Amino acid sequence: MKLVALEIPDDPALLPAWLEGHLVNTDLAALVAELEAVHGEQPDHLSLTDVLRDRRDAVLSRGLAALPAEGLKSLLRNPRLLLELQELILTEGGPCWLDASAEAAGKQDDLERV
Amino acid sequence: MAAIVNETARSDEELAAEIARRDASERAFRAAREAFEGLYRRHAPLLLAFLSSRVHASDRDDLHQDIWQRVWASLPAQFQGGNFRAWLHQIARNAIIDLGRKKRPAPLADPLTLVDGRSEPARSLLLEQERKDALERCLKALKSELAELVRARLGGDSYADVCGRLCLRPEHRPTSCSIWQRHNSKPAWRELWDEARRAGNS
Repeated sequence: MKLVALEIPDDPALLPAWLEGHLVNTDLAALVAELEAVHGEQPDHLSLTDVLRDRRDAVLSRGLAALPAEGLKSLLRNPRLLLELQELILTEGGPCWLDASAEAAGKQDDLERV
Repeated sequence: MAAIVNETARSDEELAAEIARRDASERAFRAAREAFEGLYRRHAPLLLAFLSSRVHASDRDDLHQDIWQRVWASLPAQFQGGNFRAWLHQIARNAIIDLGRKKRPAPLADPLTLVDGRSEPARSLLLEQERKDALERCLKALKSELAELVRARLGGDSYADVCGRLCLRPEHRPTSCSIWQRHNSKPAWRELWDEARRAGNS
């Protein structure tokens, strides 16, 4: 069993891209389970609206780089919100999310071929 | 995240309209197939990621195929224009619910509120329960300082912040995911992890 969460990048600047990769990939449930084991279930009782605040549209159009560091930390500490965010991206995510998901799927296909 | 999608590509709704016209002629049918493939290429990866978080891996690919079959079959009569992705999402939600009914899962205790305000059992988290339990056992077995280090690190704090808060010397700062290695506890972690895995498999 490979632990997904332990691959979290050292550099906080890389955190948005790392999380985006999991949001558009097939291992998000594993990451959420691991983060819940570490932080508990919704320790801060936040909603996705609380976290995204006025950055909702920016996140949907530009990705998680539009979210302040505190917002990213809230997602990690309340990992079920990642599942909600993934669902929001499915219905409203902009071209950048579609591109990221296509890229992730391409990499997955390459891995399965090896 | 930079967008590279071709801005001149037809919209989802234009492609959906093409599919809806498919019975008019052989030519229209071919055009509908191409439009359908376009929608599939555009949305299948995100849909697959969404399904992966909500159903067991062994059901995922069949369910994914089933959803696209539903799209092809029902689009001419049921898609009334508007937001195609919202409609696709609704079909996916219904397919997941149908799958859950077929499998008659055990009662689930932990509801998860979704974007549309409805509740759905947190099935994906139950699927990963073994992983969660094992990690919890390992964390409990770590020294409190190390457990706190793990929590802070996986809460998005930088190593500098974490080490400063825990008064760790800079030269002891862990790099990448090797928290335990730098604190001489990786072997212990591995041992605990193996034990947790054995317990999970027994």
